Amino acid sequence: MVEINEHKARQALIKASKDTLGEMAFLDVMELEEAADFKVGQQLFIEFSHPIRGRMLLSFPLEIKQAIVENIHATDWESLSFDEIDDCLLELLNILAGNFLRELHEESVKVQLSFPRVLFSLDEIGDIENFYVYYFDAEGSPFSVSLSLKEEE
Amino acid sequence: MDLQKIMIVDDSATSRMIIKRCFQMAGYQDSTFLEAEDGLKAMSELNKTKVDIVVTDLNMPKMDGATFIKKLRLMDKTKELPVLVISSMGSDAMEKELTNSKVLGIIRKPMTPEKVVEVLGEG
Repeated sequence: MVEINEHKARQALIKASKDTLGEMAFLDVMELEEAADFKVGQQLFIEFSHPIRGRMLLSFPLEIKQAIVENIHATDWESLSFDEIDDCLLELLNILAGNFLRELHEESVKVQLSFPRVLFSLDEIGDIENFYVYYFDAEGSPFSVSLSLKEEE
Repeated sequence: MDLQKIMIVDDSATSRMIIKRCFQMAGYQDSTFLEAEDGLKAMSELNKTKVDIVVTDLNMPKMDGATFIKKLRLMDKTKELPVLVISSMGSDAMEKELTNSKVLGIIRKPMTPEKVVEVLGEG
């Protein structure tokens, strides 16, 4: 197993987060230098196996969840079903993970992702001690993306 | 391109909605859109309905996009049907393989109207 350059991973994640949330949900995203406190309203998880193996956990408060879904659907939160909301958030994570991996390696790299899923508890993904946690701000609200990476064996 | 009927194949309803909206914003607002959530359902629909283009994701359950395109090329009815791939998983090797399957292009997600115009021109 080869250690991933943490700086490169951070830069790739910043670019992917800004691009994905900006283009899909029209949200301006900034990196935060320090950890931010927020009440987690939603957690989503995806694994990848190529060009590196790893896991990504997206955690955000209720207000960002609502802003993402309303902006993408261009409609009020109340008019959407639970399935529509979950599908929207999972698609966002799917694209975020794909963009991150291409930023980390190269644009033309083949990317292999699992199907993303909604988490009801962190117990569902086992060990979370090896995650690096990166904090961002989306128009005044903090959220985090946690990453655990290792080179493909 | 003159696209009266556009079939969108993606397991995510959100993604299908975004793709449809991007086409409409790219000038294809008068087109009729058909949707399928995987390759199997799309094949079934294509047996009944003639469309002008298929826009498909790659990473789908039941029948993935690459298999779906291969099957399209084996059927007389659809062997020349224009296909556009929209995915978060593309690669150079995949692009080459898909180009051999007469795919118009690969658009990387997130989809935007500009990317539609870049590949297909304005509607």
